[in-house]
Amino acid sequence: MGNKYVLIVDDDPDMVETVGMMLESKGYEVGKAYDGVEGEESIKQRRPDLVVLDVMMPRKNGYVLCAELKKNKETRDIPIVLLTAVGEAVPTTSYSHADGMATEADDYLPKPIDAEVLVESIERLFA
Amino acid sequence: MPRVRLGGIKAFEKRAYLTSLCRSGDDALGDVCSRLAAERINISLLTHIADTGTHESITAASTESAEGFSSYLVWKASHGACSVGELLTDISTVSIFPHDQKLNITGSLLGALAKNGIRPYGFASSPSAMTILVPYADFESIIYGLFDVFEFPTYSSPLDWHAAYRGQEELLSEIICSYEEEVIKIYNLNHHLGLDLWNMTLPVDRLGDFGGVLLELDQLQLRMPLLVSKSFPDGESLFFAYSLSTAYRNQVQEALDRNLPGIDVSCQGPVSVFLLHGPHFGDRYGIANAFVSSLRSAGIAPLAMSCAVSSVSAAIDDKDSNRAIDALSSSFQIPARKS
Repeated sequence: MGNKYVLIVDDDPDMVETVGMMLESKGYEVGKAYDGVEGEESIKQRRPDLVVLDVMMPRKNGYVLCAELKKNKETRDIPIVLLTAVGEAVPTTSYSHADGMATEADDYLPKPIDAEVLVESIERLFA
Repeated sequence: MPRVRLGGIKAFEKRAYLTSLCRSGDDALGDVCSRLAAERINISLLTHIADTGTHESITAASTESAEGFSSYLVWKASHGACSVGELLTDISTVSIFPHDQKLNITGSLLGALAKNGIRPYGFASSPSAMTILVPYADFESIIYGLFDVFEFPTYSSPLDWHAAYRGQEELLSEIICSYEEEVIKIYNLNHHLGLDLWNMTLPVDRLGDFGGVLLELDQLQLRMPLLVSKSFPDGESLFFAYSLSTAYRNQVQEALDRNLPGIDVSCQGPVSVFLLHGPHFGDRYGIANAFVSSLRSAGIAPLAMSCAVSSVSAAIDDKDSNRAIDALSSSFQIPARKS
């Protein structure tokens, strides 16, 4: 696991804080971005070993960013874990599960996430 | 002075705002939270401070503007002997993040507000963000003022920020969630021990001096896990509650005396600060009520409380900490402990 660099992209700063603390406690180096555009800029500046990506964000949502990263030959190998409240828990949103599956994300975790499940997902993708 | 680098700004314009002031030990917090939850009205921001010295408490909440009037009716019905302020529908909330509980960030923020003549209605902290409540008329001023002291990675100017975020409120408002859980899942419960809770009434025109105190104390590497503030009805002063390490009580007192002469400051401690964060806590009704009612079931009343962004933060008497954890465990699914 070592000092793998994980970028967290979520427009909820408290969520970024929580996930960041959790991953740092597991020995990961953590980067933080607070919307899709900032996430994209951050990836250009420093290539992460993995991206934890929220879906519902202003400026550029997680599906769009994920699809762009997977289409780009420079970034398509970066594992992406999508975190989203999309699904049965949130019937009011216009984001669909099908959109998410079409992005080719490497894992897809519905909120509310379980911390251990997230860590297991990350470790599996690094294995 | 170099600008402090932050992650971002999130703002909501034209929210409804409700307040109450209780004397003689009365407290509107529990009743307000309970009734708003029963009506399925989400509290997007809440502040509460109980002054154990004067036996006054001041509670304020912000809701979606569309729910302002119904919130007001519920609010008025739940107040008994407490006085209720008028319904304000022209409030904006502006959150900056991450503050990492660092005093230089809040100190710089207060300095920027003072420099730009902004008279806030209050402040509410979350584990990562500091939220300011301001009249809508001051919205532009505060955005410009923030860029005087802070820099942000993906927008270099207020115009950049506006270009990126104006019109996004509708999208953000779309993210309204409902969860059906018997026990509310949370992501994190942080429990800070060994703190003092400082209370003071500060004239609005002394905000910059208080900012100076925080900048001075920042040299000691202190962290501030909770800051809550609410203006009094006359708008001329703010009631503050904030927590700092008990180990630095003397240094804090000296800095306050030196920079804020004539301001009556009280300190109670030790207190514990609980920071509780969960999925979409900012746009789900009933979270504050679950928190307050579970504490009340154990006979615990928060000394200060803030619901902002997607977290609940509260200071309680240190001796009540273990009972508080037990009580919160009945309403919230608490993950592995972290202190």
